[in-house]
Amino acid sequence: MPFFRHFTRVVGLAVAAAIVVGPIAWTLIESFKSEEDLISSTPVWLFAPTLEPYRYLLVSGSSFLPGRSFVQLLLNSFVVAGSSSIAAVLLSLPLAFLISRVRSNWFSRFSTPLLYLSFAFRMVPQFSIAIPLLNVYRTLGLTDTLFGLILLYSVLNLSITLPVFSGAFSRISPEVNDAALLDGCSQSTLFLRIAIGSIAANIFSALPLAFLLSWNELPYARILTRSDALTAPVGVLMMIPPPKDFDAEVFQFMGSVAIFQILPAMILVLLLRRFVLRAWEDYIVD
Amino acid sequence: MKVNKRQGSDLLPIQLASIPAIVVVVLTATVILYSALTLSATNAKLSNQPAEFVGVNNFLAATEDQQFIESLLSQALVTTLSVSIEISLGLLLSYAIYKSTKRVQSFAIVMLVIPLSISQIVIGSIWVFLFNHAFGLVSYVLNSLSIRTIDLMNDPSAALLLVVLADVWQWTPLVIIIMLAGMRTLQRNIWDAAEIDGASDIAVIRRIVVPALRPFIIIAIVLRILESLKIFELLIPFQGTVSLPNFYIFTQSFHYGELGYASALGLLLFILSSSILIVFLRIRGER
Repeated sequence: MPFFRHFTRVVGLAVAAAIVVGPIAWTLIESFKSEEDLISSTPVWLFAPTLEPYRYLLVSGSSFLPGRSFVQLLLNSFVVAGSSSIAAVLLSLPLAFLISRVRSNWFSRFSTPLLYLSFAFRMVPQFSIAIPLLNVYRTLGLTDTLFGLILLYSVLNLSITLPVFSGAFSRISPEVNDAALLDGCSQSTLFLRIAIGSIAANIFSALPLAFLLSWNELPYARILTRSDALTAPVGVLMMIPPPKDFDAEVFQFMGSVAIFQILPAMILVLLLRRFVLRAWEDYIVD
Repeated sequence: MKVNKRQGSDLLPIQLASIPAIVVVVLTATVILYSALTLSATNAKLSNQPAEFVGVNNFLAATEDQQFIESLLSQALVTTLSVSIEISLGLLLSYAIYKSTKRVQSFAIVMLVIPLSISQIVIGSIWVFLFNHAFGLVSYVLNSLSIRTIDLMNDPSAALLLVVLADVWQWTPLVIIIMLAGMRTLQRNIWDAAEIDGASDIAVIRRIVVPALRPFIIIAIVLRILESLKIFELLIPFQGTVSLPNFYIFTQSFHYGELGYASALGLLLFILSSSILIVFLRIRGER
């Protein structure tokens, strides 16, 4: 029985791992095949690798982008995802601290809906928000600006940072708190010197989550950018080789794109592996 | 902790520093809601021509829009199927991962992040091509086992199942991560005893893991339902074979330029998804 139990678990996990990795591995392999080998009706196992899809993605495909190269779009994405994640952290730290400190009734009557509101921004179908937002951005002249995107993504990222940080702050042990206050430490010194430091792990778990979600975001960027502020996901959409009918060529192209999405995520996860589960634990327990 | 008067006024710098976050959230929400309400009462076009006030006509048109209603029905099918598969698979697999060695666990977590880090348009392409009638790998395997395959791109209901498959492939890892996070908060010995008494894995999961992880399961279900209402990019490679509400609103606004009508549909979808959120908050509050 123990052997059988162990056996089924191991086999189950192995099959699951194969199902997760298989399609990705297949896609990456196919992206190095020549088109001829790709559309052959029996799979070709040995082939002369080609880098054409990658050349297309980084160089020649840029002719479909309005005066920009894909590398520039990657840079845009990096700037937008990076600054909106950091902005969300900076914006939410004081508010989260306040939420965890102030226990008065009127304040929680105000802060709880605020938390849900920030959560709703992330969870509502994007086009419910994007269409009215486009209207507003047009009036304010924010369409197709990096600032406009950063502003929107910061609000979206608050839905991650606010609940995680306020939960983390409220778990700081009361002894630490009282000791600091007794020693004449003011609340703001406590906040800056002690509280932020003791939730560093939570900050490092929320940051990559916020970064990745902004890095791959398409629907809002698709609607709010045209040329100057294009991000990589929108560029990918524009660069789908014509006629955009998802043939073998498009598939190869997608394979080459996948690398640019997997790599940053992999690097972040390998660096911050021990924070991945923690991020969700924080997010849900609180 | 009792907050006395001195400490209370002490909080002033932090209160001031919190204002930007509050302003950003409240202002954005108000502005978007106002714009959505006013826009959906007009026949505004994408091309910036002057819009006329049409009252509730957009909402009346929505109730007669056959394509919109069909997309809602497809959504109901996709959501029901994918969420129930994801939750059951997620429970089984997270239990197996949790029971294995530390090394397997951390390896699994790295693996699980792969599907979550790829954008849905790439995932959609992968599955559309795996099942491609002419040269897809799955079709090849099925054909060589002499199982007849069909061209999914000509069969909307089969294509809908492929959407479910792609969704399950991408999001089961998230459910596993949520469940693993939940299991870390429990004490290990609660199921070890049952196992020694000879309970099967399935029995342990049903009788012990599910009740113990109830809050985590509820959250996973709600996150998955709300997220599945947002399916958009995944459908691009399907080239119009499948249409779900969020995608339909996009085509209305940016292919046909009907901003006013699309905004009305968006409000309806917003009401749907926020009522799911509210029901969930109620369930969670009763705990």
